[in-house]
Amino acid sequence: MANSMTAQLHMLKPGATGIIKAFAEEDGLTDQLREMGFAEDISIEIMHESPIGKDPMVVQVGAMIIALRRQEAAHIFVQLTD
Amino acid sequence: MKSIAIIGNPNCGKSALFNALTGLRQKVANYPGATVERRVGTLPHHEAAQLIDLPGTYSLTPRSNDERITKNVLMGTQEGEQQPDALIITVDATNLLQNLRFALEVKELGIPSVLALNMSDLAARDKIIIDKDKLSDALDMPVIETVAVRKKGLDQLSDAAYQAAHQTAQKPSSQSSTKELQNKARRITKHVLTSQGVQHKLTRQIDALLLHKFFGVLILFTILFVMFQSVFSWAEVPMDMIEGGIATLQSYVEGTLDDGWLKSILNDAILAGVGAVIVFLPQILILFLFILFLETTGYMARAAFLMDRLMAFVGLNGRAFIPLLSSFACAIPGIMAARTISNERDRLTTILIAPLMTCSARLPVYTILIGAFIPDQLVAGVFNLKGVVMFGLYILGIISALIVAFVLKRTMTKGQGQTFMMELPKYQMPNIRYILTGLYERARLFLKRAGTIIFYTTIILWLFAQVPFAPEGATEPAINYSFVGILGSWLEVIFAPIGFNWEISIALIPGMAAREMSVAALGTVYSLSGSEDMVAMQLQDMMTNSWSLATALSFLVWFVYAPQCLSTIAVVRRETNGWKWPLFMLGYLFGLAYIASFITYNTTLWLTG
Repeated sequence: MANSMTAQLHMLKPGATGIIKAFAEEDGLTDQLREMGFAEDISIEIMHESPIGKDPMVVQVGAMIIALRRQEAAHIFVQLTD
Repeated sequence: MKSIAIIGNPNCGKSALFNALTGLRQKVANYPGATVERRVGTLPHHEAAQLIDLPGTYSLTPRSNDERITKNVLMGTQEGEQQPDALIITVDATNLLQNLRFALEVKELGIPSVLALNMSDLAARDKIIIDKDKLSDALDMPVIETVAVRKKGLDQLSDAAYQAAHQTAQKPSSQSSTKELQNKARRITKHVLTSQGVQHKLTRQIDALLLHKFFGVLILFTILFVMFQSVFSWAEVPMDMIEGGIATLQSYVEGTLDDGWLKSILNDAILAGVGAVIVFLPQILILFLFILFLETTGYMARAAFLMDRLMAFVGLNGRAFIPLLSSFACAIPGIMAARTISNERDRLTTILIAPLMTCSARLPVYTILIGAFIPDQLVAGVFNLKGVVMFGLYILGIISALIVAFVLKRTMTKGQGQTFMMELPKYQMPNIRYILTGLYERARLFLKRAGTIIFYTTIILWLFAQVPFAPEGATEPAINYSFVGILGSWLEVIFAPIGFNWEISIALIPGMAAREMSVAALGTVYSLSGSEDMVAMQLQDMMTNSWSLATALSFLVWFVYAPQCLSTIAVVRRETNGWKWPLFMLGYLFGLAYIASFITYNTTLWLTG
């Protein structure tokens, strides 16, 4: 298996899958993301993006489906599956 | 009295569980000083304990007004509410990891608790197997499997909660960080989850269509269009039936009673006035049927996602779409739903534009005028012109709301925009019981209003339309000499530039109480001022005969803007804690109404020569 790439969530397109590796920093926003169900080592898949401007995006995190804007998504680092 | 609170994440089936436990024995009120609903019932088999439903939240760090209530109640700092003796922590069995984190956070408060492992049927279907004894040991609290919609496990849950309420609370333990809680939840989940289950694909498949770049938007707008068309077409039959019933009653009164005040008050005030309003019950129920359906299936959150970017253009976010859509039924639940918006300025902006969404109370006014003035013809071969004009009025309201929001966000309610982050719940079959309860509640409120405010206002209007009596040998209809006639002629001066005659001007006054009241008032005024031939005519025909097209259009446009609803003003005052914003709302909406009607009236006059 080749080395997987890590990317910020807001750079990703629908269809991309991976594992959440880290958050930018432990601030209020990260806390809110965690409360919604984002966490390290949880699987994530980019499902949809808004028809207008491709923002916000819809992701599946574990068992949950969550819509969020790319500005907040930038806080999340994802290790992509090949 | 022991108090037990039921809490949980949004979308975990918490309210369904509360409804199943309390049935119809629940009371809905508001928390003092806040418009968050306080739902209270009694625990089954344990009448000595009350059960309260707290707003769903993801954590004890409140991010909006309703979440703040949940936190305050749990901490025992909410005015007018005792700290619960026990908690029922509801978790979605199909999403254990996420829900456990919150359960662990709540557990640190030290309040005796019971865990309701809800939606256990869905978990079983997805082959998720949870060892509930292990879970109970890990959490140190009873764990009970429940299926709210099938009333499974309710007795057990009720007994366990009642027992818990008699235990002594422990001291709150030190608060763990969200990250620590997540790790703990993960360890427990790993330990108790005997089978991970298969991923349920249905929601993903439906989303592939409903959130599709092109079809998703198309479907959203189709739903909205069908919703507004249905209000017209489905309601026709029941409305005709109600109208027929009222006409039968009127002719019965006409034939049975001698001419006199009793006959006049029955026919001109009560039947013409209240009847003109009751006719619209089917339309209002159809509108609510759609909204409740969209809510209970899980589509509403998708609509918010699809609309987010559009809302962002005017400085709002997708979350504001839900209160605004509810406002199409009625601005009051819409304004109250705005409490889920965490950013205070966004919430304020949403509240201020909510009255521009065409609420069901405008339907009586729109329907009757469109019926009278818009020809029954097809546009593009399929759409009824009447329906298209109705749609146009809705669009006018929406566009105006967006422009107002745009301006407000750059002036009065300037500030940092909030984030948009929203869980899209699993799709569910519509909960028929929830829809029917909602419709029943709406019908009850509407009829109650028709039976009280509208009933009395109609009678008062009738009274002031009688006195003073017309002098001997009067040439004009008696109403012209009454208080109503005199006041109407004064108001006519103000409203003449926008094409309103005195009958309309006078109808606007009782119409301040509620918009549909204007129609009732017009019914009464015309019924009284008419000659014998006129009385026989329906209100609609009278309008066709005595109003110009310019007046009719101006009146329609007036109602797109005019904030003629005391209940809305009252609820805005309560939600914004003061008179500043409701007064601002009144001012800007009446201003817009007058300007828009003036333009409409004069343009139509000019076009029709």
